[in-house]
Amino acid sequence: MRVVEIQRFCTHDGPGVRTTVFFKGCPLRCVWCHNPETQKRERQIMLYTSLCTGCGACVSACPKGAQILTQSERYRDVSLCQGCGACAKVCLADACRVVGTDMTADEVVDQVMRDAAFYGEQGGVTLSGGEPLCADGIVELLRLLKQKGLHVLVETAGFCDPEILRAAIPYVDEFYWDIKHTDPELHKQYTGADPALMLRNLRVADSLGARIRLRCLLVNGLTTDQAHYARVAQLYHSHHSCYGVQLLRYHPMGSSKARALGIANRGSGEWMPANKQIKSALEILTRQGVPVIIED
Amino acid sequence: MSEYLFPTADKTGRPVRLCESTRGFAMESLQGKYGSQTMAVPYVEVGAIPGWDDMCEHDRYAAALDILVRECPIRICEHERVCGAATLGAAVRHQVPVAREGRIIWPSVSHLTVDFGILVKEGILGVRERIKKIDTSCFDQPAMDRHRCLLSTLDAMQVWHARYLEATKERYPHLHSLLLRVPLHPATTFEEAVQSLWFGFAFLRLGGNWPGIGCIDRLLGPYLKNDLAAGRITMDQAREVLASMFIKGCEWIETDTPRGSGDAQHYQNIVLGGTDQSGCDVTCEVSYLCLEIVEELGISDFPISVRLNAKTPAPFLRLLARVMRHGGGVVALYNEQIVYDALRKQGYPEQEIYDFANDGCWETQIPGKTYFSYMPMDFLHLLLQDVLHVAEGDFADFADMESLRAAYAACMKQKVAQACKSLLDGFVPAWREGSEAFRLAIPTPMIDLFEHGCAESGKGYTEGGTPYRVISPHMGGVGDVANALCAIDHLCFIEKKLSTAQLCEILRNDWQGHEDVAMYAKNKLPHYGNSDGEADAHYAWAVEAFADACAPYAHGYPIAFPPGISTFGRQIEWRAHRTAVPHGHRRGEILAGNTSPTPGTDTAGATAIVRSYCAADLSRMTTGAALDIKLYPGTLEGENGLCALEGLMKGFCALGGYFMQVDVLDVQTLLDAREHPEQYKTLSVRVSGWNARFVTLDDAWQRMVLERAGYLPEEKT
Repeated sequence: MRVVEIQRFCTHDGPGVRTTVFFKGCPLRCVWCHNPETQKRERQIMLYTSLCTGCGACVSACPKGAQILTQSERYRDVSLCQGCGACAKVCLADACRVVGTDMTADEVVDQVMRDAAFYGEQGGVTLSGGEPLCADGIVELLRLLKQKGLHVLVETAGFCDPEILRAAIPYVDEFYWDIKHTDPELHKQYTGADPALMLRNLRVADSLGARIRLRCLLVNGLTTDQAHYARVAQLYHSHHSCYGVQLLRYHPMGSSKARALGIANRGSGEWMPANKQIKSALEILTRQGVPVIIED
Repeated sequence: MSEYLFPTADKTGRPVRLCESTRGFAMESLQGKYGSQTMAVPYVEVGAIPGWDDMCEHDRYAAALDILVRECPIRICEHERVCGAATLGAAVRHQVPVAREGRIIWPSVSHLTVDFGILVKEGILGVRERIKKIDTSCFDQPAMDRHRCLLSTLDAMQVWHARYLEATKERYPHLHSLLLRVPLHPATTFEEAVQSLWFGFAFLRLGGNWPGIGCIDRLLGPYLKNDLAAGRITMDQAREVLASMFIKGCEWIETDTPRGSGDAQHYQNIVLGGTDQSGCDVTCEVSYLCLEIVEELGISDFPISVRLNAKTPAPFLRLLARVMRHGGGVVALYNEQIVYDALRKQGYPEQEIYDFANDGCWETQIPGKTYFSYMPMDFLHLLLQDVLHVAEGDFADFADMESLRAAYAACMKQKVAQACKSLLDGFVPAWREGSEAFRLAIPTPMIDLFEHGCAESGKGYTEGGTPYRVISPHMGGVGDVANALCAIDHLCFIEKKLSTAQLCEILRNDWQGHEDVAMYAKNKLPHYGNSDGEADAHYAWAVEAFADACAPYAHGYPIAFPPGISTFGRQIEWRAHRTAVPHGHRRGEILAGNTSPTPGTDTAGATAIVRSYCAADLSRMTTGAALDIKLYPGTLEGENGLCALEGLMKGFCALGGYFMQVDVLDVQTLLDAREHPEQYKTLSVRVSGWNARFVTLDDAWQRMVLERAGYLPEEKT
């Protein structure tokens, strides 16, 4: 399995102190993606030009000539880069970094268990991404984590093989389930995928009694229409395993990561929702009897 | 809603439980009203005391104290619920505030927690009777002088008490009725016990001493329990009384404190919670009230340390987390189990260890029974100078890590031995001949009254009167030592990029011309604080080697020299004599404080810092090893933020930590306070073992706090 990062002492990814494992690879291409470095399955290089000292070591090291350093320009030619990491190896300033480390399930468990003393009764591990349910060997990892007695939470958009989901559910204490958009056309437009698979998987999870929190990201002008939240309420009521809907704010943090990856930056500060939009979504959902969770 | 708002990093604000007048009293005290009054009268001029030249030092002290208590200003604040005030400015500057012809005569005493239980339980009259009954038949002349001085000190306390009795007679009948009983007699109620404790504390501070208070809940808890059971008081009333003591504890805060290492560092530590000898947790109503008061008022002048253990009640842990989330670093934590282990290894009798408190800061001691001081030693400088000889140019060349470590360990042993012997020479001149007789020192009768053993032995606090005498060698710079050793190991022995002599030459030249290697060391090599096995192994080795160096002097002498780890902010002054370091930093940078990682090198989060810190056997650091953790308010929001703090505390204990100070810092607020200090008079931060109002820190100290909070401001030019 390919891991982007293992973050510790996470307090916003589930109950208690958690270790969050971010997997590389996602079938969706959300225009507002907060973690663009997790989208591609392949290893990638992130270049932070503000840290670059211009020493040129990466230029010599790159077998593909992807590192460009002239008097006026400093960038990485993404079309040439194969993510081999030769540049990161020689970069003393830490300006070039490899994204994506291959780990075995046991290695991930070992990393997660290092913080076991801090989890207490509530905390545990959160698998995120990317789409963790698309990671190789995910069911085995979940089994091992559960074997350790950990509270296991999976953040998913539900775009995975339904069989994988079925196999995973016994080992998962809770799902944070992203609802990208409830209008099928807009869903496709914003994420590149039809929502049918997600909806099917949500029914599977519901039928197996998984504990589910639905999550909606408020992106100004894209996911803030009132009809969407009315449909989210319907979705909530038609799935008994859902215990609430969490509203999250879009933030443009993904933009700097996209720049470092050398990919198109579709993020925008204008997408940040206004408080009144959060309030409006909250009112619609509450009016329809949906428990709403807001964590700023 | 209250008119008075106290700063917090928690956007949900602070609770309001105290009455408005108490909150107003707190605000004016925190903003420096009483401190400025105190500084207006620095000392009492004793003038020409008849026969002064022929008096022994103790008689001089007694005569001066008599004048002091008669002439010092009396202060009773409109809304106070406990009475007595340390009203002389020189006391705030660590001096006995009496002068002859404008010259202060004696310095004062700090770094100790006395046993105020003596006063609360016996009363002045009881103490006097006990002292009078001491068999002085074998006392020599100096001991007789001290004995006489103790009784005179009690006289002085009664004179001072009588002045407050008189002053409260008309306008403050409730305070007056309290003073009619205490501290002359043993306290019988919670209110009396608080008054008696405060009066003793204020009296010692009036005389310039800075005592810690110690385990206040163990002392006051039984009184409150009785009163509650008898229906004599409610929790709300008890909170008001105790809050008054906390507020009066801020009476040395000045409106415009000279900037330096902070103002709130008078070592008045309070210790809460923990288990007793039977293994029962002693957390009680008083423990909760103390935390509720600081939760509401943000008072940091009594730095609080909580003794955590497996039996710490869940509601108390939750309250603790709530208090910590407000920021200011008011509450710090002991892992009781490791402290017990450490004190047992030091050889304290089993019945003593359960009473542990600290020296008013955080170094553990048996309160009321210990002479304590510590000696700071810069172990990074020792490595750079005495082992590697970086500055001299006479560079050491080592063939492997083992020989370097051996040289460093030998150097530690030599330095510690040298320091211990020199201190023994100073305190106990004939120790080499087996004598335990201490050199005569300045009088300390105010302290001697509340330190067990002094009155009985006829010896003063600094003259071997207490059962335990401790001077703790403190290892400074351990985080950087670990990183330096790790860098040397990699650069010189594992990767063989340089010889140690070549590295020393590069360091001598402050990395000039070798910036690439510096960058490599900084960015590519493992660092302490990230739970990296390799870096942590160097740290654990250094701690162990230091403990071994202290071991020969930890027992068996008139003074014990058990080890601890701290810098107490000295990394600021130490940078002047340190060269560039092997882990890539240049000369003059402020490096790691206490047992914390080098600033900017810990990238794996708070739990990784705790795990690294716990990689050493900290039970060998007898007097303690402080870890500073900085967290952002955003990390701790909501119910989950409290769970996270609880998890952090539990992990710290489970992994074998000793002492941890968690500060919640909002960098933007601190930056704003730098720009507009007038708007942040009461904003508190944890500096090291103490708290300070941020605006009273000078530029270098403010920068250090900001760096620890993850912000690296530009050097001012």
